[in-house]
Amino acid sequence: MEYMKKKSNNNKFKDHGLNVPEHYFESLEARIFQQLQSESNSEFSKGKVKFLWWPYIAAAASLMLVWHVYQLNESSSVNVASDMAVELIVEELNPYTLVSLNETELLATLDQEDYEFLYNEAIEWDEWEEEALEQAYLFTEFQLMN
Amino acid sequence: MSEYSESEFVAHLLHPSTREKAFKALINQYKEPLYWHIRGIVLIHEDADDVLQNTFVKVYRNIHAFKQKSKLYTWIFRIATNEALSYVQKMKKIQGMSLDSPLSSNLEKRLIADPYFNPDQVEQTLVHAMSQLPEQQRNIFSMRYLQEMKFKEIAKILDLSIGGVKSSYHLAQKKIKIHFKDKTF
Repeated sequence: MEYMKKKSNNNKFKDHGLNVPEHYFESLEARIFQQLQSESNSEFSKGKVKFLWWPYIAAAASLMLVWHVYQLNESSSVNVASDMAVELIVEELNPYTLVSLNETELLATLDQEDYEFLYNEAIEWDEWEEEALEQAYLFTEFQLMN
Repeated sequence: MSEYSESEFVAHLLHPSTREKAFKALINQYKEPLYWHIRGIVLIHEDADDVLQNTFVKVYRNIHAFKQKSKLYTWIFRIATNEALSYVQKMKKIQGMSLDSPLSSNLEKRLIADPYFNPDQVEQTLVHAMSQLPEQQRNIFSMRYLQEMKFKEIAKILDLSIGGVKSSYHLAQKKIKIHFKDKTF
């Protein structure tokens, strides 16, 4: 606590024109706890939203399964019609629901925009789940070395 | 906070039943020195306020990661420094500036607009000169000159060699002298 025991140097900042609003420090604690609370709520909501996608994912998987069985039973003469139906089903499905399908099916239906969207979503979730404190240290170290 | 040893205090921060009370004590103890430390890097009050709150939130969320290999204040100041430097980098990115360039022109404008900055003659103030420095030099200059920290302490917080800190400070000082020489007559 060597640094903390030292005489406050705040006046030096003030002498150079840097000031703080009146009562700023008194209200700080409440604002920090408010931020902690709102971040907890937001994380909870994100988790909830993520959870809410599961019924859709299950529905999409069932639809694809039913369609697969249906396709096996149909003759090749209705190929044009079934292609259109597949297209319609795929169009109806949200990109999120496709994540639960197998890789070949998923990649076949994704365009560049979908890919970027899903990729960014995945990155965002990772960031939420892991505090990148260590990375920040490395980044700063790099900055200071240069 | 002073009635406990540091490891006892950290234990209070980690225990669910004492966590909130201990964290309040920590805020109370560190809010002013941390604020001025951050303000010395970002210079604008509004930015310092954002960074300070994020720093405390990060401390609260990551106290379990503090392994007590350094002093608690060193760890907290390091987080604050990282937060402030990351904030400056983020601002540069938003403004489409090169990450290597000093914030100077934009920071200068925002500094003048900051209601909590009172310059007599903007161009002749130390803060104005500091705004022209690259952030790591500004940080070291602020820690040494404004916060009156020892080189040893600065080196510990920034995880740099004492020699590296001294040469950065020397460079910053030199640039500030040149700034004053150019601006005052």
